[in-house]
Amino acid sequence: MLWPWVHRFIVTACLAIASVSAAVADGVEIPQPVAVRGEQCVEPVEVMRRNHMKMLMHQRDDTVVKGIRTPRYSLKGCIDCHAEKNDAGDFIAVNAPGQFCSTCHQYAAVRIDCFSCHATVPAGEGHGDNMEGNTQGMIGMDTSESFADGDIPHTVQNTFLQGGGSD
Amino acid sequence: MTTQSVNIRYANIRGSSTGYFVWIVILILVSAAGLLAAHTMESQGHVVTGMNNQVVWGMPHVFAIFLILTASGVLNVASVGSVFGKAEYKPFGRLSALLAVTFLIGGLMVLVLDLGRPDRLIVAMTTYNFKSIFAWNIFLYTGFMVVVVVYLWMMFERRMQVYSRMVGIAALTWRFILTTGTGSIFGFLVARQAYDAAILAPMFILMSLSFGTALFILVSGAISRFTEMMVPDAMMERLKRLLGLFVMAVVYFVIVYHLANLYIVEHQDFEKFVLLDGGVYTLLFWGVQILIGTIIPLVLVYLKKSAQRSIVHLAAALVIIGSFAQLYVLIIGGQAYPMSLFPGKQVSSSFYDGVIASYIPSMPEVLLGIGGVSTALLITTIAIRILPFLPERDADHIDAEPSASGESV
Amino acid sequence: MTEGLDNLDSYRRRFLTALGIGGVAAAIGGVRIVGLATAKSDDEAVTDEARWGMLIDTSKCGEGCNRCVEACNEENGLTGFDRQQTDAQWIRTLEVRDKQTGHVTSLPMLCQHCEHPPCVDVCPTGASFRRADGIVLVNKHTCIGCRYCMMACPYKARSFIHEELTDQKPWAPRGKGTVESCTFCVHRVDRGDAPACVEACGEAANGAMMFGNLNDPDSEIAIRAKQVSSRQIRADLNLNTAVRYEGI
Repeated sequence: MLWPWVHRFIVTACLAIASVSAAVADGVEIPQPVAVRGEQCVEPVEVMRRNHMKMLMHQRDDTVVKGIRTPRYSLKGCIDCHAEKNDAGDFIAVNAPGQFCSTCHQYAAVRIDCFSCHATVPAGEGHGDNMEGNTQGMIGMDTSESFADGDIPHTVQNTFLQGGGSD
Repeated sequence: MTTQSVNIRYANIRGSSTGYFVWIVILILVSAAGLLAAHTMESQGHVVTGMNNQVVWGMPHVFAIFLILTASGVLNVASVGSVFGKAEYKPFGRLSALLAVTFLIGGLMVLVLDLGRPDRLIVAMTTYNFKSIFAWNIFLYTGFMVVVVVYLWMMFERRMQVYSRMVGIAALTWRFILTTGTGSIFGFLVARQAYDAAILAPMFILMSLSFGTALFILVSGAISRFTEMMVPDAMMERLKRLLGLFVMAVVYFVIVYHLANLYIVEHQDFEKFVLLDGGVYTLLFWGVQILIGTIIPLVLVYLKKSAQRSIVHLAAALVIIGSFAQLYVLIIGGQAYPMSLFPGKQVSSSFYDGVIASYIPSMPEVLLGIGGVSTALLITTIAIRILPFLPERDADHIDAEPSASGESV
Repeated sequence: MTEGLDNLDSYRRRFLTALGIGGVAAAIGGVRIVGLATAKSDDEAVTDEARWGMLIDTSKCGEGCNRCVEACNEENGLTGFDRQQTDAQWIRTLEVRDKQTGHVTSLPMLCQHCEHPPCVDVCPTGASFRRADGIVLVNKHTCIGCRYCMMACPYKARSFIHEELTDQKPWAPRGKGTVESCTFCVHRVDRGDAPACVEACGEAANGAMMFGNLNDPDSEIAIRAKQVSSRQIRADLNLNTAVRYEGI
């Protein structure tokens, strides 16, 4: 006797929840990260979106343990290109609200631990280990190689796309 | 003897009295305070503790090592029962093993929550440097937990009791290795005057036996005060004598450790620091570790011919107090004394070289330590309500002893 | 066969790189590492061909001079919180006074980059490690902050980060809850520069600190270390430190 009512209530509730979540999914756009410097990222956006964490993880071990310091997949490389400046011309932290790292990570609800240790802005001008060297290296690579879909360098495919990374 | 052990009946406490629930609530609150303290230490950083770049291990480590050593030592009651076949001990094997597990959990909780990055516990569990004694200890501690749980199963399951001696031997061996490992955390440190001594490993074994026996006397005393469980006179007498023996063995190792240091010129300044002019450390050593924690308990245990329970309980409590002083002097005092970078020369710098480092324990770290003890007791209190850990009062004794107040089994 | 060719290729590339860096160095005129045969390009892994070391002539160490310490703090962004007990110090000046004679020496004390580092032995996760070229580092990605390495280090070379940090240098990541110490300015060494302290000491015209490849018999440091008497601190521990001192 009571059952049809309960049943109807459950169905209605489920539908309501479904429609609300659909609305949420429609309403929030996937953030479109932009680079401040350079025209093209080191890999196509889709590759970066899916695999940047693996690249960073791989690079981090290479850098710390082996001293390999190629800027291409380095966190520093990301920051050098993607850190924005405010009106006063100072860099804004990449993990500040609305900035490069935080927009996507907020969208994906993934907490990152990088910036408890790592700098959030590029190095100041004039330091020997500065971003100029890095961005130059990056631009050089960016222009010399094409990054159409499926044209990912072999090593990258091996290492990143086939689950070579950990964590 | 075997027939007797088969006939032991166990029970869980009913745990419905107000006293039981008040006790549980107190333990929950203290454990929560410990967790809150750990959270503060993690979010604010270790700056909220008294630990610094000179004294890098502080109160949490005193508590953690106390809990771990005690966990290993308290299992001795079960070992004596099932490995050495002493009938009086057998009824208390389950309680002994339970305390071993819960105190180990408490100790590990303190140790882990004191880490700079407790969120990376998974790293510690997956990445190992097998040359590190810490890495060995991760296996020794978790392995000990497994062995004791199996041991408990053997003791609980009547069909498995034939294996309980075998598992008991494994647990006994494991305990010795575990406490050797814990002592070696310090014993293998070449850098500091207080450590770098292999004698610390056997000393830690004896410390664990002494602390563990004291803990068992206190906990079994408390349980028999509030429940109908009873520690028979013969058992009490044995525990009393065992405690005296272990306290003497510990002080023997303490004497040899200090004698060796006194003989070796290189270490004489360190001995002068601990024994004569180390301020709080000297006070803790002579006043608490030696007088309160060693001499008075020995007098209580050996001079009183009749095993009056309150006297034995007092002796055990004093041994526990002394154990904290001993660990404090060893762990904190050992770090407060400066490292000898240039033997025979005086050094000074902006980094406290050549001076006695200061360390004042702060509230969060003390709370974390107490929280660990509280968690151990909390799990114990709940466990004896859920499962029959406690031996039922022997029928022979019921007539002799008036019924205890409070909970009934 | 292919391996041999690869090797040949890598040697040739390293040689060319060395030439290139040498040229740049000559043009800039900064303090470069002597013994450029081992300087590497960005994409090469470090090898044990080099063992980086330091030779410190304490007799040239100016009294009250703190230039190496300041340079280190500046380079690695070691700004403190005015809490001396918990602030990090990677290098410090040590006054050493002989109890009998009263003779005073001052010298910089830093991570000694041992060949057999106790900090690496005791680290449970392997976060404390020794790079192929002998530089002892903390991998802060795997450091759990147990501080056992600080208990084990005979030189008190390590610091624990006791509170949250901001404004780190991009080349020197450091953060709360992990242990750190002198890195020999590994980011500079990898690009062919000497550590900041050595550079500053040279600029201060003291020139008390020399840095280079101990494995290269032709390097300035190897030649000097062979000529003069130098010693390790706590040589009794037999750790074979990479930092050696003259005049103590």
